[in-house]
Amino acid sequence: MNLDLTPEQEEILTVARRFLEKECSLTVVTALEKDPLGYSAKLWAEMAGLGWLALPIPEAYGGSELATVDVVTLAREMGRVVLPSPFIPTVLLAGGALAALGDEEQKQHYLPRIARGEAILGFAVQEVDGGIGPRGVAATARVSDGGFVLNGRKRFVEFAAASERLMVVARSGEAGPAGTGGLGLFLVDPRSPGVSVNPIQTLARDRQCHVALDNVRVAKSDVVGTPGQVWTALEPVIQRAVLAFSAGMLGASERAQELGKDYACQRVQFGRPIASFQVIQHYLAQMVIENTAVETLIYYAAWNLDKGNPARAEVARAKIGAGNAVKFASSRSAEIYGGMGFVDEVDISYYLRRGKQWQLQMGDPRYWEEVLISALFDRAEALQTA
Amino acid sequence: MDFDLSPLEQEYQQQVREFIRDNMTPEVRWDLSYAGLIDTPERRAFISKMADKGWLKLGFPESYGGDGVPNPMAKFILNMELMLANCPIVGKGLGQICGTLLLYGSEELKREFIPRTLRNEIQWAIAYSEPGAGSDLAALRASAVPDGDDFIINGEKRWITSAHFADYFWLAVRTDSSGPKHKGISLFIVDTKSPGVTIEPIHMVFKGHRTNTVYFDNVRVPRSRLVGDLDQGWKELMNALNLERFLMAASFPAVGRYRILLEWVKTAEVNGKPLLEDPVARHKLAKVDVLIEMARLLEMRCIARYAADSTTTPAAEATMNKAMAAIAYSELVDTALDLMGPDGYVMGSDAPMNGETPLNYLESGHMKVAAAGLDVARNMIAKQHLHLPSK
Repeated sequence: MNLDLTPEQEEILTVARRFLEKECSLTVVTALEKDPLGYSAKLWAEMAGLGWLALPIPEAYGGSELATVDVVTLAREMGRVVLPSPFIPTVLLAGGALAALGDEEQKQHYLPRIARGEAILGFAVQEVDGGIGPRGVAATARVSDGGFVLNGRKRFVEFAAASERLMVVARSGEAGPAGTGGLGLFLVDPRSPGVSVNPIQTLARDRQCHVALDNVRVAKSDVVGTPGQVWTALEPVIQRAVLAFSAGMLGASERAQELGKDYACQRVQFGRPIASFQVIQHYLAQMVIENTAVETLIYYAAWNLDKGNPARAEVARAKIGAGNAVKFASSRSAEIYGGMGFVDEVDISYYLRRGKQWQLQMGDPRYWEEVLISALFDRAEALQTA
Repeated sequence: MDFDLSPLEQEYQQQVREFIRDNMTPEVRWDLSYAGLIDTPERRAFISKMADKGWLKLGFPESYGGDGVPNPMAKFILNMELMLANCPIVGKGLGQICGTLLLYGSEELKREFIPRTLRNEIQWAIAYSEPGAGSDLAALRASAVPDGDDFIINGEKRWITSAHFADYFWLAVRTDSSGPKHKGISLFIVDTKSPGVTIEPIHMVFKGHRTNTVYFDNVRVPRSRLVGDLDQGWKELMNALNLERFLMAASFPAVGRYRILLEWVKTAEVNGKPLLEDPVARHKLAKVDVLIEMARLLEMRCIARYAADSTTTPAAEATMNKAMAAIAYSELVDTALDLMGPDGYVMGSDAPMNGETPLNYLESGHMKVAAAGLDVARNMIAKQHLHLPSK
């Protein structure tokens, strides 16, 4: 048993920390929150130059095919500086799904360009429920003229307007008892007839859209994988992305704790730094306890995923734990700031707005709790991991 | 990065499981889920059988009766499995006391006490707390004053679990009161049968659990029984406490009870319907599941660190582990009782989960205050790990 980071992971962390602290200051984040595109093309190109967009992509398509434990190490640093970027939808979700399910032509067309930072892709799975799983998919894909016609309402699609294609999860056949049947993946040009992309305003001020699909035609060449048979390969792709997202929450939670600590050490009331008051100390200590435990939850889930072990319960715990931690650290630290914590563009406010949103994003706690309980009672060995 | 036990460790774990399966009887089983004491002939015999198998000596140097093979995981694996099965554990003697003796004890003390502890021939009682020194342990006042080749001990110690059947006290006393309170504390090994020792019972609110107050009235102890250097006991004591915070598998009472709860939940009904069809029950279970796993993995993390370098204890993580285990256990028990509804306060063998959960509830509160409680742990993290100012 060895739970320390490997030298390679230490290296990823050090390089990412140095680069992001320099290039993704809160001034940059502020500008991007107001920018219609919502991410920095310049930063995205630099990230590609560092090889980050190639990390999870197979070597044959210009990637370096790193493990999930490495990807979460990088994602944690992105969350730490609340980097606005399409890393998760483009690289991990659409890129991951293409690598797992795409045909040779699709892989050649998209993966090297994703790795080089030249292609932005969106990923549209969520609908009216709060989940990110198969059950909630009601959008339909009907066979027509050798291709498909899509209908449905997709929600919370990140960077949809900036994407050259949206990868849409829709149902072309029977759902079956678990809801995993009949699912297909379809690449849709967001500018094509029948697609309406409606930006929503969010707490984090990021770029998300609801997307309506009304009789949208998809050519056969834009169908990824075999409709009706995608879920088995798609599930680990989503799990991996959710773990990266959880690692981002951890990074933000750790930074929120540091900000709360620094402020408490500087702020003097009653003639002493407020960090000397036990109530403040206990908040900060509790943040550290939770962050430390959540770090291990995330790496444990990532390690299981990399080994090909069943990891539904582990991913669910990581997502729930990281969501709780970032919500707690960001809101409590803002309270430590007093009134200053609720002033726009004060550093902690960026974390305050994201902490709660992220807890609800990529599957809300209600969804993941249900995944967890189902996994526990479907799979007795989940309890025998000690 | 690797979360698995090594093949050798897994083999050992399997042997321990088989031993428990073959040797645990109702007399041995501990109906509370932590601090399983070796206080009855049956429990003592159970541990002695493990000593005969050589399991208590794993990882200790040969010169002190050990097997000479470095194996920091062994004690942890043993206690983990024992706790999961509600057996008495091999806690303080091996972890805190022999571990500290190895680091700080004189050659004479190591030779006298480690081999006998590894053979389960002697039992220990840890004597730190006092009526006026609980969370503020360094305020302890019981004293040892030199007298020729001896020290004379006077004072009162409280919460001295095991004192009524132990052979030796592992005792912290003040030997210098002229300086700061953390300086001037020393550790001694004292025979519980020494003239001048009086032991009075304290009966705890959880069934059958006894602890003690111990009075020392001019108790004489030879200087050779001083552990480490005179007046330097605080450092040794902190090290011992850190060892206790994870070598005693703090999170595993919670993990063990959680498994029992999950078994019950599978068939339980509430208001005539399966409990598992109740969304509120599912939500509560999921919340507590995450906490249990956080506690379990934090503990594994401490152990992995300690296995990589057992010359130091991972102090910050050990304190976090203690805190997380207390949080997880108390949330677990409260959740279990809520799921049972009014049956939750029924005790006895025909109640759900053998009627032990009400006791676990009392225990879980105690776990939040014992051996550096939850709030004390948070204080320690704030000061020692985050270096927050005290004024």
